[in-house]
Amino acid sequence: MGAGFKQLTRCGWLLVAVLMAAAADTRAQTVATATGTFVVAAQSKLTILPSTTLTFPNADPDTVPNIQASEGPTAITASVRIPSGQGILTVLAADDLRSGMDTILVSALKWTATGTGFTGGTMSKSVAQTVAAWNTSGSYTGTVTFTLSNSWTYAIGSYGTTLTYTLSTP
Amino acid sequence: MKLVTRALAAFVLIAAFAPGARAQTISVAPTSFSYPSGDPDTTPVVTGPQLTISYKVTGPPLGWTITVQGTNLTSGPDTIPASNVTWTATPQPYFVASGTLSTTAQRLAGELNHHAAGTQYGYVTFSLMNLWTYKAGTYTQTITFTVTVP
Repeated sequence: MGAGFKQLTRCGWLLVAVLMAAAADTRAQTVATATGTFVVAAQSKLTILPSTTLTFPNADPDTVPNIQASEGPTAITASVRIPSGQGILTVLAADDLRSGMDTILVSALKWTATGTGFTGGTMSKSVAQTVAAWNTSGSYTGTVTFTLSNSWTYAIGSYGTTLTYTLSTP
Repeated sequence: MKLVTRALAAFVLIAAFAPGARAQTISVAPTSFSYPSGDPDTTPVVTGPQLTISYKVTGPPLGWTITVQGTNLTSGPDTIPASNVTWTATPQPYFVASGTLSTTAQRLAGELNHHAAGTQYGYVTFSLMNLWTYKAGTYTQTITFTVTVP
């Protein structure tokens, strides 16, 4: 009888251990996790105001050697998301300024700039010129003010050309 | 023999009313989700799908709490802070209506005076600030929900 009691007592303790282990297993399920993913694609966006026409008014070359555009500074907002490398804004003229057969070299068109990453330069019809460059993603705003070198040598006429801005990302 | 039987019964009762009677479980579905992409100018905040939190707390003492914490979003060496993520949750009053994700545990839901007997449900939606300043890449984060009892 005594031996049987001990045996059964052992069985009882074993049962308690099993039940407590089961309970401990249930308690372990107190944490749940979820994984969130966000894909940031290389992206760029360019806004230029005014976006259509710049006008350089007639002026005396002696008193106004550099004519500023009537519209004032051009506001540029360039937004880029880049993984590495640079976001670059360039400008390229389609041709020299032309009025029929007469031309003004497009290099007479220069600009100064304000804003992070923006830089001044001289217009070209053959090589895209850098207007701004950035090494990190972001939305950048700057201004570009164009001036046209004024000269007595220009033939009378109404001259024009087209400027194309390109914002590129790696 | 009766004595032995009583002893066994006592063991079983002790087992039944000891810690094993106190159980809490929690799960979340889906376990993975995506924040949609979008133009930061037109979609300054991107919102993921609604997550369902299933939880159950039984046994004394009364009360339970669910906390939430998240890692920063990482893409290689690039990171987006966890604090750029906010959440909205229902139902009230058990769930905190809204909050900002943190790398440390924040209270998401709780009840001081009741169990959550039977499976209960809460619904959480995470939103992420969509900024131009993020470097391009695929970012991931782990969000952890933990149910605790007093």
